[in-house]
Amino acid sequence: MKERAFGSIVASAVAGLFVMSAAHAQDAAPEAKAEATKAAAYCQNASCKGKSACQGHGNESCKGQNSCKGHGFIEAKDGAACKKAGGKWMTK
Amino acid sequence: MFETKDTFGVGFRPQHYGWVTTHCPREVDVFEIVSENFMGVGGRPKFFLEKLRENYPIFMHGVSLSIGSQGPFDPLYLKKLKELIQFIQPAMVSDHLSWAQLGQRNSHDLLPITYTEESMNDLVGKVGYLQDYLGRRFFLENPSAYVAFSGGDYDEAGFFAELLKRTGAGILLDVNNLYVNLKNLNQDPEDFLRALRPQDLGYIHLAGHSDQGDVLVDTHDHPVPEAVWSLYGKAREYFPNTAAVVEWDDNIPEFPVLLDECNKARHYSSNGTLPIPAALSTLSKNVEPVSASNQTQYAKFFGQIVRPFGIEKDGTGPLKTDLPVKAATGLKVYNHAYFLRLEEVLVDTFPGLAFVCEEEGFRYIVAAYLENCPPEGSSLRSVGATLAAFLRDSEAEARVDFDFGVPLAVLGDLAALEWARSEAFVADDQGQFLMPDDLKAFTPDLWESAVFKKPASVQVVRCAFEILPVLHALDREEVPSPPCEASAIYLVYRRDFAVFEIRLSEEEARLLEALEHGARLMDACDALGADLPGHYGSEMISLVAGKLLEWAGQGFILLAQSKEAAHARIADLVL
Repeated sequence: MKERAFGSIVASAVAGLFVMSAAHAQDAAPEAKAEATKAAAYCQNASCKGKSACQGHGNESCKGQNSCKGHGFIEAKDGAACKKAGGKWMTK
Repeated sequence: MFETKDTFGVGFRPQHYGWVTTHCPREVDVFEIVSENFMGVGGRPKFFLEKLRENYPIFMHGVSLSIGSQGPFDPLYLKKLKELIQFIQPAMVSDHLSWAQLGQRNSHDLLPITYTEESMNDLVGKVGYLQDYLGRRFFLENPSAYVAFSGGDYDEAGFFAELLKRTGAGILLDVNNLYVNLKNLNQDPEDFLRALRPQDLGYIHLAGHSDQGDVLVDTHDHPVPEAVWSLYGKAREYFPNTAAVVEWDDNIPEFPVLLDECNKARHYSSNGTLPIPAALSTLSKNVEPVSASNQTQYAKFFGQIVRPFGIEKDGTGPLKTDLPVKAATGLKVYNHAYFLRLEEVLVDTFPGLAFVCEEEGFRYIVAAYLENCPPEGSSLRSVGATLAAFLRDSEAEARVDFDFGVPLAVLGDLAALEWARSEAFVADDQGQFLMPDDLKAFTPDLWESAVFKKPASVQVVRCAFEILPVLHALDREEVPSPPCEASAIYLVYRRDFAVFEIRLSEEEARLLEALEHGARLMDACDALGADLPGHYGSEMISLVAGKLLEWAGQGFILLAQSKEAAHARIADLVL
């Protein structure tokens, strides 16, 4: 019977809140808005990377998009060979 | 019912959501979506999907079904897929005849299957189950491949033809993949076309690829090449009036460029020539007996794909060695793609973290993270789910061997905030949002019985550092100062499809955390630490109810059950 005992005081407790609720909500919204401001290497084919038109902070819609594309890369012995082939050397 | 004959479309990608749904180009008959990008997703992506659905027929194309994996389907994945089908009512639903998952681990790639009787029997059962579960015909796409397994009882064309015949499923014929496999694996595309029956065809995929000299990679980052157009023309001779969709997934151009490709697909007529090397016709199409079970071959192959920074010298064991592409080269394509794909997703999900760590440092994090927390979920969206916990772990400094100039726990806090942003942005809130007027109308009984819930688009993030100013500086593309070490709790929330953050007090955080899975007013009071649960003064109830009213005005509170259900509960209590 915990619920019923509890319920008996809800009415009085919440009764006074309704008057102030609208003001609460209106005060809070502007505040929210104001705040709202080791291993081997890969030679990555530079043309396949970082060209997303929806890059940005926080509010873009293309995070973690699933797709069936493959990924290009370049086979290179070292950083110099990779760069010469137009790639980006990725090592650790 | 949408008539798919002679219809032409393109993929619906985030870069074009706004343009497409505003201009509704009439040159496009149908749009194709990647199913996983909308499964269990709300917010802005769902908003655009609804607008698209109002104006166009849709093909749903999946990438993570992993029908070729050993064992049963992921039931949660199937449930979400079915829910999306019911929401969209698509003209066709498809995925690839491939596999991605081994045990709990996911490669997030489209790996080739073995064309054996064992695979056939397994797939006949799974396709049948899938079609029964979804209550509709399913279409399987022929994937591109960079290796092929030794042995087998069928070639790819024969396997597809038999599977479609035995299951009644259809094929999504990707002519770019046929061309890639011709060059990489010497598979005759016309064999494939000859093996299919007209009733097998769903629609045709067109895409571009990258020629890397010794291997073609299905990158979807170029216009459709002439050789693929030519093959498309041949396919349309075999299967006139078949619908076609152009895919473009990287280096995505402005929409008018896609429109040109779509129009070309509509008006293309074949000159009848196929770019098939003369030597191909003399190739043996016999297949060898199977030497190892699928399970063993797949496990060896998978081990090489997910191996950090390169394959082993003798890692090509279960693969064919008499193909145009060397087995080691093909295996490297998958191995590189595994890392690059996951790194790309993590950069997209944690742009601030990637920026402050710089390219080299972030790569150290990615490598250590993938080694210690390999991806398990079926969607790429889940790949970063445990990155914050990984960076905050006491072992992290030893695992990520790189000096960032700040403790890794700082980066962990930054990752936690960015993950919360990502989750809030796409969360699909279930339940009825409460407004202050709703609460004003609550009777005391309803106050007592209602189950309040924090929406998934509202996230509480506890940090050990004052990290929000860092993130906001990064948003402004400024170099941030290192944060102070001081507990801070943030609320990350979505409003009008954008995500914002505010600070929370400890009490507010505890209250919202109590509402994570739904709680009644009395449970919420418990969470604030009443000395004796169930015994509260009106002051405590006023405090909690007041917060609920305030948050209702800000969209932070849902009613977890219907008002009718809440009233029904009252009736139960009275009885």
